[in-house]
Amino acid sequence: MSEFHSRTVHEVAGLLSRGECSAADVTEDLIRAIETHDGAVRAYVHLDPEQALADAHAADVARAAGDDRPLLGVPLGIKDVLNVRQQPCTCGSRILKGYTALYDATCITKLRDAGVTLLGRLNMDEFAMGSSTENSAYGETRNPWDTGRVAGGSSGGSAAAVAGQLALAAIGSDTGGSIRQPASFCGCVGVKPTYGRVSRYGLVAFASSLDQVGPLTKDVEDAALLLEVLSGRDEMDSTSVDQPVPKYRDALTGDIRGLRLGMPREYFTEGMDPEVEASVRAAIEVCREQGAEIVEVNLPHTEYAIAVYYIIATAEASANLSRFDGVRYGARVPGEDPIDMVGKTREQGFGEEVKRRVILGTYVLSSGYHDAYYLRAQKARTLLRRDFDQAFTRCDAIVAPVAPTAAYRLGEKKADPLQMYLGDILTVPANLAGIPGLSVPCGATTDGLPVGLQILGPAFCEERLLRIAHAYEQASGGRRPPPSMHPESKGAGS
Amino acid sequence: MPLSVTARLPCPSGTASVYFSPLPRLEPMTNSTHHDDTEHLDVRYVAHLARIVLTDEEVETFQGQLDDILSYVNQLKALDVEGIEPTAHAVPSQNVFREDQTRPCLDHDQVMGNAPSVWHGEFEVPAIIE
Repeated sequence: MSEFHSRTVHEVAGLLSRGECSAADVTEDLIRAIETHDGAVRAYVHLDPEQALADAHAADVARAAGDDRPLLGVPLGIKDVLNVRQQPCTCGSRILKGYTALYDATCITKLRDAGVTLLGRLNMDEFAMGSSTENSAYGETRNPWDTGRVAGGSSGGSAAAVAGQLALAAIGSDTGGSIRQPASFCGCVGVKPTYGRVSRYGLVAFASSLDQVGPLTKDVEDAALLLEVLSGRDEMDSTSVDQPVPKYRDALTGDIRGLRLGMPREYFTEGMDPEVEASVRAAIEVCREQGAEIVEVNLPHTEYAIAVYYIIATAEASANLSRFDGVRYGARVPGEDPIDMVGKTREQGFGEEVKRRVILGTYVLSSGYHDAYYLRAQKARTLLRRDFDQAFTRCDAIVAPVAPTAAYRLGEKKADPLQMYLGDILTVPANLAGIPGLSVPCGATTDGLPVGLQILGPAFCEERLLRIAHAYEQASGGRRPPPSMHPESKGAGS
Repeated sequence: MPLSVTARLPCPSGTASVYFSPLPRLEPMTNSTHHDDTEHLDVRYVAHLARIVLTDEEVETFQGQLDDILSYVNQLKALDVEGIEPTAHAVPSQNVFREDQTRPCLDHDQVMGNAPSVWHGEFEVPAIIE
């Protein structure tokens, strides 16, 4: 009994609570898996095995003293964008190399309160800007299903670690699809909660009106479990919403009879990989067989979503990233005067994609262009929100692909940022509208690359999304076995 | 919409005016990749506003890429947004207040531990004013 790395959070939590293993056993096993396989996947940017083991031992001591918190001793991986006290937080950027976080993000505090221990820091596109985790100053993360392909992004390290059995689950962030798309590419479950569901305090800001923290997991039950821990009002984040936090696991009844699932005409258009479309349509058919009713809906402003997103997100980013100036933290490149110092620090500290977006964001906010771009985009954002309001009068949830393709080859889209942006067309609308979205694995292409089914719902209807995803997952045979990089784990799916 | 407006940041009055001073154009706008029917993003100038120094090579690469992105984004101009309220946040919220109470803050020495240059317990920067 040593293959803890191939298990889910709820399985390991059960083993721990029944005394069938120790937290130290679990953490040791995961560290071994990481040391063996992460060289090929490169999911982690920072690992402190001694600290992780010390935390695991402390959890075991606490349990022996009667502590029975549900996730006591369960080790998780954390995207390198969330502050964890006394750990590095680089956001995949050179400019934060050597930075040590001074406090815990609220979601980290909540995880610790539930008993979770922390395994390490997971790679990402620099400042979460990217869709492939190729924009990291610390090297690209590779897809565990095919290491010649991208893991998706920006939470590519989180998705690759979970899919590659190098973390039981991970925490990521989603500004325009950064949890759902890598989850889809790597074959795991990812949840982007309603805006305001989870506190953003301690999340290094990319686009403050779009960012949300959420879990990446091996199955839907784990997603429900972790979402419940992460959710809730936080006085440190005035945009977090004071809504009751349901027991999300209670929503996993397997019963979706009578639910109306909307297929947006605009999300099934040309340009989509036929194999991806076939997998998603087959998954929707499974939902229909489970008693759901499938209806067609319209989201007529979808074609504008990428333009709106890349104006609003870059505008917010240009403001948020102004704090990286080499004065108070991070790297500094000396200059003749302060302006020269800041300019050179940002030249050498930021990677290409970050520079591109900060320049674009500065431009769309600048005098003479603000109304033509930023204000117009904010108005179009209203229309995108109304699209969803309209659609949800006709259906209970929307079902669609997560991305137009499965994982592409490393380097395939890197030279053409616009092509990379266009791949976000099916995920950015949920962030612009603030609604929750979920990605659940739904089969694979003939190359064996995972495909994700995206489920979107009205604000604060995460229970419904989880119920649908769980019903689909159960009806389609449970979670998939992990990729063959762990031959000893083949068929370990529950 | 032919525009050759120079993008400018507002210049706040007060002590930070040197740091934020609107800068003269660095060079005339002569880039050949100019799209006639769209506004032109002068990469070197906007990068300067964003306080990012770029190499000539980067300017050239970004100019083409950002022109492509902008001409894509310009499709928004076809959308009728007359009378539509802008959305700043997906979840509309009013001012959120709390009691103004003192509470522990970050430890000074730890904060300064992340600083690239410290002088007598303060952040050190190159001289701003002679």
